[in-house]
Amino acid sequence: MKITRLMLLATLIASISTLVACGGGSSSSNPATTGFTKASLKGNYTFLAQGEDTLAPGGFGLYSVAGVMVADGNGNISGGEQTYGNFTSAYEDTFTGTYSVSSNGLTTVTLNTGNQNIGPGASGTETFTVVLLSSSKGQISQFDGSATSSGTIDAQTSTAMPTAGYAFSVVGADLNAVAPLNFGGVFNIDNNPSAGAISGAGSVTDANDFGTVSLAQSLSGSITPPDAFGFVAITLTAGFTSFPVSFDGYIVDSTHIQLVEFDNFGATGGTAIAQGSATGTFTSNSAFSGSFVYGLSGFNSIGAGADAGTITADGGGNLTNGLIDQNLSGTVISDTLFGSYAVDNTGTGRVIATTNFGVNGTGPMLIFYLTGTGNPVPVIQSDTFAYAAGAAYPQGSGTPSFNGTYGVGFNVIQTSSFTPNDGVAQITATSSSGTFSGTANINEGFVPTSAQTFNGTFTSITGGRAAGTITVSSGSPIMNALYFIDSTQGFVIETDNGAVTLGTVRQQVVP
Amino acid sequence: MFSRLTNLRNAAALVIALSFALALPAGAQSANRKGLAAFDATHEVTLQGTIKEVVTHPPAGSPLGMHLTVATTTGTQDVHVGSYLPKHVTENLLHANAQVIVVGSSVNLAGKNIFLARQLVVGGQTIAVRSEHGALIWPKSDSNNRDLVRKFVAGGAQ
Repeated sequence: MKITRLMLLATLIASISTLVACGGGSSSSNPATTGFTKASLKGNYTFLAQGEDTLAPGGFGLYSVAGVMVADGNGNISGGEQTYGNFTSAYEDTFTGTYSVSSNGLTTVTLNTGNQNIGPGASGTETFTVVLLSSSKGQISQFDGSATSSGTIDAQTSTAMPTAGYAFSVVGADLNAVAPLNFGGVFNIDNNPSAGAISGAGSVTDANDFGTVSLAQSLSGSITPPDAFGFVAITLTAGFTSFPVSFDGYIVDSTHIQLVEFDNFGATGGTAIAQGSATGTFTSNSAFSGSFVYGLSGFNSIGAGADAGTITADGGGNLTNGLIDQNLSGTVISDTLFGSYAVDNTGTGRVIATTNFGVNGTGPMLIFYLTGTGNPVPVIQSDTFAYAAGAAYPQGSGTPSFNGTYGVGFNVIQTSSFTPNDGVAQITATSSSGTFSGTANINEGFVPTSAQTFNGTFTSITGGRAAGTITVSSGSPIMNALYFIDSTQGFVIETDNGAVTLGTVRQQVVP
Repeated sequence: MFSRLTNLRNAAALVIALSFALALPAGAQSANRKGLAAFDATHEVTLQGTIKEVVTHPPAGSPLGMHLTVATTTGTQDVHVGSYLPKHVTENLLHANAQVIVVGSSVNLAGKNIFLARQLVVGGQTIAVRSEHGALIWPKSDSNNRDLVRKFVAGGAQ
């Protein structure tokens, strides 16, 4: 399921993407399970969702959609902008729409773009299901017959011109090879020689394009000033391709920009995270230290894949005390993980890491892009086998508690029937019994199905990891592992051979 | 995962399969797993035979995606062709008793050998399944260029 995808998803995840764009909510003990209303959604919200649509040749293709919607607190989307990119097209559109909110936070958003190239029946209408985590955060999933995806929605708190270093990771497709592509790096908006310029100093990128791995490549370009919705166009020249690389970006806040690729090179999407005052300061291995929880999703030689786990960087070049669940197209490795890393001495924050499983030989090659204390760290897997992107989060201290109400977002990258699934759920977890129960809205292969029961079990948490099951409606239990960043958020990855799934679990706080 | 939610699964078999995998001696797994399962184009082989079965729902312990069971003069080979072949290929060309030539390479995935097809020749057509690096190829558009419809003028209110 998609508490893992990220990896693909994360990844995206994956995400997927990667899959979790912004930080979690504040800690709370068993908040009430009801209380959301239309008024809970008011103001500007930036969203990103990644998944698959039916609009590509063969009826399957990756797509990303990001934008900003303006909710009036009374059920109307008064305006907004979005970028929708798939294998065949990329569109910028404005929209209006409507939304409804259930008391448990499950929300339906309908956007009318007027673009008769997207939406069910070329209607130009997109429907999303959202589980609100608070009045400022949620998990989002496209929920109609034209596309299925998952991602995040966050209150927009800034539209200021970005500056300094931004670390990013993206995954998707090379449009010319029509095959997997991931890349990541740091673009440093150093305003040299002019405002918005990315001179290349302090910037770097790595890519795995169609199986060709290119490391520590040059990256330069520019970023436009934001428009009224926080839209920016980022144009890059990357050393790994002769094609221009461009992203449409939608600013979330002073540290996050959601990205959808807008060019003829790739169909990717992801999140850029600001390095802020730490830009250029990462010059030695001591810059990477502490324990992290990671989730990535993407693709490999077999099909789709996702990773989730924990790892500790000791500040001296060693990775220790790691755990990993890796789902390679239904073949799952649950193992310990260790390795070594090297922080580039150029200051960009690029960290290249080689890993080994405890008993399964060579582990994934990971490249981290540091962002500074406390911020999520974009990460890609770039070896000759896999193409994944996601993020690593600083792990909280102490043993987390999985108790209270949570929103779940998940992306099922691959199933035995080839059909992707995405969705969101609202659950109540009870740590004393090791169970949770709730309700999910799931787009099962472009067939949206609302109000499914979403119940499960979980073991005690050891080293940040718990094993569990999820049962949807009358189906059989699905095995998974949960990795907690802290008591408010974590990743979930499917650990059986039924599907490749990565998702996120984030605590819900009623406004 | 959820498309199969209404299908009962053999959970016991799954647990047994996973238990077996995890129960392999550590040394044996490490020895079998020379790094991750990278596709090695320098060790490609060509199989020629008859498709005995097209497996769209592989059994527990086998990777997701379509498999072909190919009968050759030396035995039967399980060939993984992935999840992204065009519909005209899966619906019209890949069927039992079809003659097929498969070019590909074996990889080791968590201690298990899997034959990955890079190219199929079937029904008079040559089908690219993977790149020379082993990346699965997705259905391709008629055009290499996307339609890029830009409407926003950055830096100004819309």
